[in-house]
Amino acid sequence: MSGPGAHRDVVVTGLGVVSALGSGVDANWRRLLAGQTGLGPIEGFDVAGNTVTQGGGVDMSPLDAHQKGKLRRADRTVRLAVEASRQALIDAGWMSEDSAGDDALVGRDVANLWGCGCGPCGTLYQSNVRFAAKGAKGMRPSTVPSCMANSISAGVSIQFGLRGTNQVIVSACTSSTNAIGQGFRWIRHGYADAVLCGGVEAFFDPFYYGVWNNLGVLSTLPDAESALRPFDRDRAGTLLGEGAGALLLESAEHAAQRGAALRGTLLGYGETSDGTHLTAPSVDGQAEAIRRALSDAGAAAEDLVYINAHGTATAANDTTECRSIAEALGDAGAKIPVGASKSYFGHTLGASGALESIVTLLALEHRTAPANLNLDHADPDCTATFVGREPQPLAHGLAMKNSFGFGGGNGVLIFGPGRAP
Amino acid sequence: MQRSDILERLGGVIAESAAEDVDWSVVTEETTVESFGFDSLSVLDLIFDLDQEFGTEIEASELLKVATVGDLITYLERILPA
Repeated sequence: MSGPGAHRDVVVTGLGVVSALGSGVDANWRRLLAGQTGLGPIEGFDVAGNTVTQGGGVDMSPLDAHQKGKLRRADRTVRLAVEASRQALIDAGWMSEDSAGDDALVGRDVANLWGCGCGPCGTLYQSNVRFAAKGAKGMRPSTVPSCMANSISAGVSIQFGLRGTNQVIVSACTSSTNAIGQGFRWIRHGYADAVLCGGVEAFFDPFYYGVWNNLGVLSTLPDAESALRPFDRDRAGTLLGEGAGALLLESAEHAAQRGAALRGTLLGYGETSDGTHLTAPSVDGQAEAIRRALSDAGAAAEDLVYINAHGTATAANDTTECRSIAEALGDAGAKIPVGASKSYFGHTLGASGALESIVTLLALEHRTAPANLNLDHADPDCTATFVGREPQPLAHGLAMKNSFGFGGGNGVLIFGPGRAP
Repeated sequence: MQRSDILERLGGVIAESAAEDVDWSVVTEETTVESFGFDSLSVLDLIFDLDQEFGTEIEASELLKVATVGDLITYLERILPA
């Protein structure tokens, strides 16, 4: 480690994904390229009484092969984060496929930093059910630590013996973009050589799903495949999803020393707060975050070949985001293909930044942007160049990932392609 | 309550808080409690769950003296409410 004050290049050496599209980076990418949504009827709890009963639920069964005992009984957020981390550590060559997580190469100084908007909701819900039935005397002693938001990062740290700091950033839908950005800065400025960054969300329980249903932002269109329509004239709102994405960030020097293959490079990060409203987005705040990210990367709008938008398919987001891109990037921005991934995963809230950053990196790696599902007629108020209904070849260059959350938090990342070791 | 009844009810309780997956069908009175992998936090859940299941008020210091499942059954027999 070169110490605080350094300015080092940051690379991405490992990726891991569990989402409504399945478990594993390759499985997810295949379905993204095939234009297959992961959205469908919500299972796992009784959705009766909700107006909207579709979303991006995760099949947890593939995790059972790797998770036993106490881990298998842990909150879904912990289980998802551990699995995404396992995949990322294997992808990065830090752990073998059949490892229990105690490989000698698993670094003692690796930090892990997660974003999660809602915390371990399933455990919180079950605890409240017990409280309602039995009062305080019905609460198990482990209720306190298992309901902590940082039980997620702690679970990852314990599972893999990671001895760097472990933390969870809670900033709604910007959470994991903030986590990746913060991990990037730790490495860039010499506070860490490697940071396992990620995002996770699992909130399909009667309480938390129900309150989202009542917020009135969910699409009531009946067909799950076409209900979530980012930037489309006929959009009707978003649908929710669960999942986790993990990215192993390292200093370029650290990765080179161990001969790691690169999934990509992380070049810049910008963040702002709107300072205006709890839920309504702001062009000023978003555009400034975009400008800061590009400046941080030492890049210009002309360097971007792809924008992975926040793209929630709500009227407030989509029109504001397009205005923000135009405001920050000017005429050059109008030519950059814009894609949105939530029609595949659902809106995974605090996990969305990580999942969609992985899509962005894969798009650069394969020089192909996944199709914009359901974008049949672009909203005339959304003036941008959108990826079409088929996957689109991309030029060689940089890509931008936007995340804009409730609370007025805006986070933007600038990625570059990887190189062979 | 018969020892065999206590043994059967212990299965569900221990499975909830043990670190490892427990196959109760092979557990006997000679099985060590240590083999279930409790730690300083999960043993608190174990005590809580046992008290909920059997209506007992277990002393943690007494539980620490228990080595085998048979010892635990004997201890529970002693403190079970009449």
